[in-house]
Amino acid sequence: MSPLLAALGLLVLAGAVLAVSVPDPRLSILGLAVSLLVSPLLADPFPAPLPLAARLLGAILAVWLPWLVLRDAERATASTPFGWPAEALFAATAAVVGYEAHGLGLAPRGPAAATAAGLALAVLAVAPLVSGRDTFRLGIGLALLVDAATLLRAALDGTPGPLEQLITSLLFVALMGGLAALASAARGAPAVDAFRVEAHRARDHAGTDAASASPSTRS
Amino acid sequence: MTPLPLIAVPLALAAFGLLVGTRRRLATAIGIVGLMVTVALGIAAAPGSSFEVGGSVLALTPFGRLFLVLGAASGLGLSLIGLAVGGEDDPGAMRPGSLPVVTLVAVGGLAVALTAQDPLVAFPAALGAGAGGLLASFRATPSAAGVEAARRELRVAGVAAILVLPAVAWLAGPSTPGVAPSAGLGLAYLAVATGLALRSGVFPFHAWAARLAAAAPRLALPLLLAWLPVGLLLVGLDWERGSVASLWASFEAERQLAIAVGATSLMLGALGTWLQDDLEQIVAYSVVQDAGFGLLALAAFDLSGWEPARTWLLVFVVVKSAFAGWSVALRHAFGTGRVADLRGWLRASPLLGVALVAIALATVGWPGLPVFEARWALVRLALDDPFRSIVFLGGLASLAYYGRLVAIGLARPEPETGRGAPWQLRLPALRPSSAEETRVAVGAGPGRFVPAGARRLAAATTEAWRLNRAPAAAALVLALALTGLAVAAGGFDVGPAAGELPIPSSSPAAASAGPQPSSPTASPGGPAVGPSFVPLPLPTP
Repeated sequence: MSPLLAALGLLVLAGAVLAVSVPDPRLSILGLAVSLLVSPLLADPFPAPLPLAARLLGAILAVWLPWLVLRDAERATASTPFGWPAEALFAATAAVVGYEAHGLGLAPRGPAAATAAGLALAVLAVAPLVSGRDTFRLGIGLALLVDAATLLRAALDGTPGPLEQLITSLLFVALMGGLAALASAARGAPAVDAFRVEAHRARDHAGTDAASASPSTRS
Repeated sequence: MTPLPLIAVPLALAAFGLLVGTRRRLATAIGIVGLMVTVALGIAAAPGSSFEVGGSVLALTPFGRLFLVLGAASGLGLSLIGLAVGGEDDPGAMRPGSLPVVTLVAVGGLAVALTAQDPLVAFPAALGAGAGGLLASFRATPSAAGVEAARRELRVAGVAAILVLPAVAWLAGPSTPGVAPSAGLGLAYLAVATGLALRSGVFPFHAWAARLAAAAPRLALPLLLAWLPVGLLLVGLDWERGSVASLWASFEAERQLAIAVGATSLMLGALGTWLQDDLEQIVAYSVVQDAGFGLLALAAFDLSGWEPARTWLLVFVVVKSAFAGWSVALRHAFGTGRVADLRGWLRASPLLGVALVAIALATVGWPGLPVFEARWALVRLALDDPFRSIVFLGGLASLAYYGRLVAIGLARPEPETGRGAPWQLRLPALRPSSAEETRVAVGAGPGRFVPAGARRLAAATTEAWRLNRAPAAAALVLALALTGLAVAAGGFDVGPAAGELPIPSSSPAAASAGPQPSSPTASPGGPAVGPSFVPLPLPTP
């Protein structure tokens, strides 16, 4: 594995661990952005400039849409119950397994680093998908899961073609656009929270009053 | 004409419609015009035409064209039904996207999926269309149940992606020919089948469909439960025929599991539908039941099952659109969706009664009708006796709940039930409207002079629409139901279009699969039509 691909893989994992671990939704989106922006580079050979630009633009748009809804959120959301060291350990273990299992019995066309990162992202996505009760965390989990799918795909069948890169970027935009719409709708729904705030975390934040412990992030 | 306009126009108009989403009427108008244009483009598009993007070919097959045209037309019909009934079912009342606009998103996405020759392009496109369809799952007034249903929809899309994409990539073609372990082949097949089952909402994944039916806009149900999952299923069938169909003997256990899921859905779906007392739940469970045939199609590794599978899936989506439209029109006419409160509905609205009979006939058919033969072929290819007969009879059990609805419709109505006679056309009184009313009706600016004749016409048109909304909705439902019946009877050249093969006849997989009912067609001067998936260089068992 080339050092560059290894470094890129680590960057993808670092972004994903940040996305699932931090309670601040803005930092979480930043982590997701890093992960989505770097993952198209985990391919051998590197994607052509135009398809790569499509993926990067798609990634930016994909994180920008939930950002529009989230940017004024002042409170923490329910992050992973395990904490970032545990998540990092889970990701590292999955990456090692993925590296060893590269190809799954067939001769792969892509780099082992993509399999390692893909499996690690899939593991990191499990907690928000299974235990995440709020829309935002579910969206983070979904984005990581689909990113894992694209990484595994690149590892198994090589660098995607230009049209596939374009469609993949549109898939991310559709998913995260759906998430943003869902979060926006959830804010307007009675007894629903867009970003379910855990009471103890909300109370930790300065300036919050008793009303802030209610499920709604914004009135 | 290449398929490019059929992809680009719906997507561009959908983007425009989403951007003006806060202006509900404008967004709805853009969506409806966009669907009309899409239908026209689909009819004008030449099957066999293709174009290339970065080395990937997008080719329009006759079946793909028919599916997209019928999809846009059904979306248009449902949107017009929504306009006719108004209220919560007004297509513009959905948030954040109106039904016609989201239907355009779905048609554009599925156009990419059904024209792409590479499954690694087709699957993400179909999944993306499904994620875009999420925008149709919000009612105008957000509710906790609605948000929860949309969360589930998102979750299903993500899980389907992680199951399907790596499995397809794994079998897409190793760089050095090797022998795939049969367990791995079975695992890949199982992953794809599970992803498709999740999206289709078959048993045991039906809870998602039921909750969605309770929370999503009623007119969006065909899009969410039928058109988008079936688009993914069609891509899955294409992939299966090109990749693993000839090797099914090496993963017979996985195949049997898919058959078990499909058969269980067929058997229990009818029972579940029978137990429901709400029109939308009846529609949802009927989808769950009939989606079982889709799983059977996925497990019928025989080339003779290709045409029945695609015929059935086309009938399925059109008929479920008509059924959902019927439930909305009936709810509007009688002010309730509880079956128990709908006694005598058929006496009050025979047009909807005819539509329901057409829906039932198109769903089940009779011996000799293409839809009946398609259902029988799918069961026959997947199962042996005695299970074959039992499951086929389970499929026919849908007649029971259609019969129940008809029986309730023929019963003596409660005195307070019904609003009148929705099928009767009422003529408006020809009175001149006020200047303000006319200006609004004809779209003229303030202070603009409008001739008296135009004022009368505008007033009469507005009044006629107001008085005849219910018959208009019933007529649209009938049109959808008759379209479904026409497709079920083999109209629109469904048979030849559905029988078109995805695998070139020279490929090992096709050669090993036996005689072929038809061969890929070629347009004059154009490339061969039909996906040219490269089969695995694996030994045939």
